Formats: sequence, structure tokens, C-alpha cells
Amino acid sequence: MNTKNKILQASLELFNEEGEQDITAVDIANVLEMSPGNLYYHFKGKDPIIHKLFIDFEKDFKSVLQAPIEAPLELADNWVYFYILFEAVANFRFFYRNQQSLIERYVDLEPRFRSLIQIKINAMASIIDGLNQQNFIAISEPEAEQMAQRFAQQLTYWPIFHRVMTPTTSLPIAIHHGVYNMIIQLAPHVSAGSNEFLQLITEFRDKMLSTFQHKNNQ
Amino acid sequence: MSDQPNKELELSRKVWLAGIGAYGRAIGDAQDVYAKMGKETSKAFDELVGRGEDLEAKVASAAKQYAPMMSGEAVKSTVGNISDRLEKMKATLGLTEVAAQQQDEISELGQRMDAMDAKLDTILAAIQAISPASDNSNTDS
Repeated sequence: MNTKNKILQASLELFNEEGEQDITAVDIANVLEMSPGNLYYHFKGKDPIIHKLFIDFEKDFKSVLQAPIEAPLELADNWVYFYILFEAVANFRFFYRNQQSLIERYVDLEPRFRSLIQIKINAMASIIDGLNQQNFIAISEPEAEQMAQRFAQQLTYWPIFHRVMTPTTSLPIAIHHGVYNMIIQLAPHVSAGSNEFLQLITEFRDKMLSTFQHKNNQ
Repeated sequence: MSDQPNKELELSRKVWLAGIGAYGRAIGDAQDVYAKMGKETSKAFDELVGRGEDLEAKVASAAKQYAPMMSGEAVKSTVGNISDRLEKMKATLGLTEVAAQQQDEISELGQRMDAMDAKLDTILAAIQAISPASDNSNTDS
């Protein structure tokens, strides 16, 4: 990996762990055991690092979000897809941690965040529409619209919620919870009956969580 | 809700549930294997545990694995390829392992079938070896 990418990766990890606000370019240089002058040669301070990370995040997230808009996913892939979404957010969670302050300091990012959320809503609407078309769920148009918004909100604010409510929970477990909380909302609309669906996803979640907790305790 | 869900609906529901249940099944299978083995110290079980630990490590480091991909040059190669991402995520969640396991079971069944076929051939050959003789004895008498 070249120095530029090393700097980006270290910054990302540091921002995700500590929050971006209090981290300086010197902190990043220290973590990498490089001189601030060397870091400055690659990035003229923290701001260009933030911008580059945002561009990477935006590019990655847009490409993921675009998929169900362009072509419907295979039914069973929808669920795996939610994991990808949550992970994409988790990988750059510092953008969500203190978003208000971030967009006040980086004003050019505000419209881009907004359009990203709009694409999120569109992607969620496409997924819900796909499930509806495949008769997996039966949902009215206004309900589907609301659900798409709710999904997008959940995806956006999930890192904050997770950090405040379950700060000691590991990220993979938090992601499982996030995905579960999302797909459980489909239950009332599942055409063939919600009970079996509920039972299965709950069973699945509990098994998975107990496996993780068991392993964490070892 | 309806008492007679149509076939198409039932099928799509099962496909979806199969995806969700796959991980749970993998754990269930592991427990069954363990139970069957009883007191036997088994290499197979150790392998299973090893695989589980690999999986655990994979999941635990998922964020770190993905982070360098996204913040570096590798971004170009992953962008726009959702099927790769889906495959990768399935592997992280252990879903491909389940598929592989099922594949193993299928090929094992295939081998058993082959063995049975071979036995059947031997038996048929043996019967044929006997029956012409008996036919002959019948026509002779």
C-alpha cells in the first residue's frame, strides 16, 4: 500500500474510533510514526483527508445503492444486501457520528450528504417494490413510500443509536441487530403470513448472537 | 394470511427464508455432528471448530478488511460490482460455507450412488451368470 493510502486508512480508523472532531493531522502522523512534514507532503492537513475519504465513501455507497435501482435483486440476496449496506455505513461511521457539526465545518459536503440520503430512499423504495412485485410482501403505495423513508432513516442514524445505546457491543453484533431491526419491519406485510417469518428471523438472530457472545466470552 | 397461498408465493417465501435460515442451519448442523460423535475424539470436529474460528476471525475483522479496500486504489475494482460484494458478504456470513457443505453432501451422495450402482452391476452380473444356466437346465429338461 502506498503512503497516501496508508494515511487514508489510518485516518479512517482513527476517525471511526475516536470521532473526527478532535483528531488533528499531527495525531494521524503520530499514529503512522511519520513526521507531520511527510504527511503534509501527501495531504495539506486534515481537510483534504476528510474530503478524499468522503469521495471514497460516496463512490462506494452510491455503487451499492444503485444496484437495486438498476435491476431487482434476487429474492434471497436482499437480505445479504442489507448487511452490505450496514457495513458500508459502519466502515465510514465517523461521517454519521457528528454529522451536524461535520456539515457545518465542511459546507460543501451538505448537499452531497443530502443527495446520498435521497439515493438511499430510492434504493429502499426499489427493494420494497421488488419484494412487492415478487409477491413476497403485499404493501400499498403510501405504506411502501413510508417504509422506504424509514429504512433510509434507520440506515443513516443507526451508528449514533448504536453508539449511545449499546456502546460496548461489538460492531458485527451491532450490524446483526441493525439488519434484524430492518427486516423485521417487513413482517406485517409478508403475503404468506408473518408468523413463520417472524419466528425464523428471530430464531436466526438469537442463534447468531449467542454464537457471537459465546465466542466473545472465551 | 390466506389458507391457500399460491405456489409462486410459497416458493418465493421459501427462497427468502432459505437465505435467512442458512446461517442458523449451519450452527444446527454443527451441533448435530457433535452430538453424533459422542465421546469419540474426532478430527472432523476439530476441523469444524477450526472452521468456526476462521469464520469468527473473518467476521470480527470484516470492517478492517473492507476499510482498506474502500479507502484505497482497490475502490476502482469493487465499484459497480454488486454480485462480487454479495458473494463476499455471503462468505463472511458463512452462507457460502453452507452451500459448500451441501455441495459436499451431494457429492458424497453421488459417490454412494456410484458405489451402489457398482454393487448392483455385480449382483446383476451374478444373477445373469446363474440364470442362463437355470434357463438351460429348464430347456434341457
